[in-house]
Amino acid sequence: MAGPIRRPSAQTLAVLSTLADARRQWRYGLELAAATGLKSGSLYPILARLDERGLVESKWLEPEKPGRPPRHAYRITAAGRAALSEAQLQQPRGAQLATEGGH
Amino acid sequence: MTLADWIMRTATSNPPFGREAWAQAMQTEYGELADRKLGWAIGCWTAMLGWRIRSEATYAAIMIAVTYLWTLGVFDEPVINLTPRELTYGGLVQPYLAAMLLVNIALSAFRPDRALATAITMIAFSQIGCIWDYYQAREAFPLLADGPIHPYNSYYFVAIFAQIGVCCVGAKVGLWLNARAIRFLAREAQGAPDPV
Repeated sequence: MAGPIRRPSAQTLAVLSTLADARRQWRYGLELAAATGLKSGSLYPILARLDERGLVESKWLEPEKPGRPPRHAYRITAAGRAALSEAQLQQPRGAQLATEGGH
Repeated sequence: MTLADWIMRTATSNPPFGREAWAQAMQTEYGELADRKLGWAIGCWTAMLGWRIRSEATYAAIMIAVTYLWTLGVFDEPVINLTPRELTYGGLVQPYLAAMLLVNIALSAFRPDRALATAITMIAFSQIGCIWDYYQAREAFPLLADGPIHPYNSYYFVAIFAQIGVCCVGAKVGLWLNARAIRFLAREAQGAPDPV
């Protein structure tokens, strides 16, 4: 039986948001790193985890320039969109509770 | 070759099990970079290190636990309680061999890239256990020291070959199970019915 899914981190949400903004377009690792500001050491473990959970799909795309190797590209799945929406709904409530707790 | 190239090659040349595609992905993106290559390479190296630690920790913990049981654990009894025949026959005790077979199957199915290393480690540690028992037997029962191959200590050779055989069969069965699981998962992913 699968346990409850942990709330995604801010970095994970940033990756999912960037991929959601791209709609059905495939995005490369470098593009995601530039858009989210994440370093490769944080980005790839997040992408691998999202891929394993089925929130992101990946594919080797043929290179735009001839003579270059295929590049790994990423796209958000329906499950990824659902997870992102759920996290975004929970986020304002969590932030509100944190503010109330601070008083 | 620059420092960044060297770090990138070190990070991706021997990726942890199951992370080969990610290593390739990092490498191709690195090839597209015009500047800030060093930062990208260090990040990739860090990510690979994290994956390697996680990947190796489970395997290492199982191996340590199993080799401990092999040499010091559940199958040992005080030598004085055993007859020479029981002592020398110890390596052929059925639960011992059955446990060895099951552990080799499980570990080889879990880490097929380590099937050979697992089998060799199991054989080596079981032999350490055997040799230890043999020297204890020689002290407790000096008759065993009479000749190089005695009716009692000849059992050791049988035990050694039995253990090597069990480890090799276990590794082979584990590899077969792993290949079968991969084929099954690939069929499931394609949505095709299982022909078996």
